[in-house]
Amino acid sequence: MRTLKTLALVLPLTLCGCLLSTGQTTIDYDLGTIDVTGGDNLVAEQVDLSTNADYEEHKDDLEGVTDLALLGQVTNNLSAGSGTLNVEAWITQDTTNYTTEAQVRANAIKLWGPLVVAPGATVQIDWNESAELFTPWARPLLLSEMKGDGVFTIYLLGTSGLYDFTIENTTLVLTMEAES
Amino acid sequence: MRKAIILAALALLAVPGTASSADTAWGIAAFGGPSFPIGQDDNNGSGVTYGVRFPAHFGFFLSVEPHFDWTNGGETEETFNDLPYTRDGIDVKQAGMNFILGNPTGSGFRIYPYVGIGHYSLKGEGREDLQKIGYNGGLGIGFGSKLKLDVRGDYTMIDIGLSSRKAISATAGLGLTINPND
Repeated sequence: MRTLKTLALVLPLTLCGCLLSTGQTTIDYDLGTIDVTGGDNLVAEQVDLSTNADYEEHKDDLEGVTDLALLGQVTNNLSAGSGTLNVEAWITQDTTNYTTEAQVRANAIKLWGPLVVAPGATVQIDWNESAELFTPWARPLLLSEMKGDGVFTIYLLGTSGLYDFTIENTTLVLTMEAES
Repeated sequence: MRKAIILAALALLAVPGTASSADTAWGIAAFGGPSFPIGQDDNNGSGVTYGVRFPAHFGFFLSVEPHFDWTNGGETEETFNDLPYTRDGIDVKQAGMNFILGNPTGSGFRIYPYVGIGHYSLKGEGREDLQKIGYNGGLGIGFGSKLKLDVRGDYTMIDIGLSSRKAISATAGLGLTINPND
C-alpha cells in the first residue's frame, strides 16, 4: 500500500516535469505596408525568419506549428461600382521576384484566402477569420520552412479582374510548439 | 476511449446496487472555478471550468471519481504591428476518471491528493479540432457530512502529440453523499 501511495504522488510530479518543458510560443513577422496596384504589379515579400529573435531562440527545439494568422488592415482602393476585392496570399519556398499574377499562379502555392473587401472599404483582418482562411497544406508547408532555412516569399493578389489594394501593418503570425 | 470512460463511470454508479453496497459510499458533486492556461502564447486568457463528479469509495484507501468537465477558454487580447486583435480561447470538454487517495465521500474535514486520466476534446475558432488523452492531478480539501463543500487545486496537461496544453484551475464544489459508509 505504501508503494502505491508513493507512486500515486510521484507519478504526476514526474509527468509535470516532462510536459512543462514544452509550450506554445508566438512569433510575429512584420511585412510592412504592401501596395498592389494590379495583376501585373505584384510585390514579392521576402521573409527571412532568422531575423526574428524568438524564432532564432526556439528553432532548434521546434516541434510543430499550432496556429497561423495573417493580419493587417486591408483597403480596397477601387471605388464603389467596381468589383469586390478577394485577397489571397501565395508562397514560394525560396526567394523569388515574380511580378505578375500569372507567374505566381504557375509557380507558387496558395497559402491563404480569399478575404473579401467591398469596393472603397477598409477592413482590419479579424484574427479568427484569418486563421480559418489558411489552406489545409499551409501548416505543414510553413513548418517545413521553419525547420529549414526560414526563407520564403509571400505574394498577395486578387482572385480575378482588376484590383488595387493596400495592406498596412501586415503581420504573419506563427505559433510554434517548442521547448520553452 | 471516451466510450470506455463513460461505460466505466456508469459501471461505478451501478456498484451500489450490487452485493458490496454495504461498504461502498458514493455521491455526486457539481463544481466550478477559474482556469488558467500555462505556457501558451496563443491561448493565455483565463477561462472558466465547471462540471460534475461522481465520487465512489470502496472501503479502503482508494476512491475513484468519474467526472465530466467543460472549460470555456478566455479571450486573448494582443497587439501586432500597432493593431489590436482579439482571439477566442480554446474550449475543452473532458470525460475522465480521478483516482483519489482518501475518501471524499466521508464526513468531517478531509484532505485528499488525486491523479486522473481523461479524454479531452479541444475546439477553437480557426484552430484544428483535437481529440486527445490528458492527465490531471491535484489536491482537494473537503468538509461536511452528507452535504459537502470541497475546494480543489488542479493541474491538467493534455498530450497534443508534439507538446502539450497545460492549465491550472481552482474549483469549489458542492456535493451530496447519497450512500455514506461512515
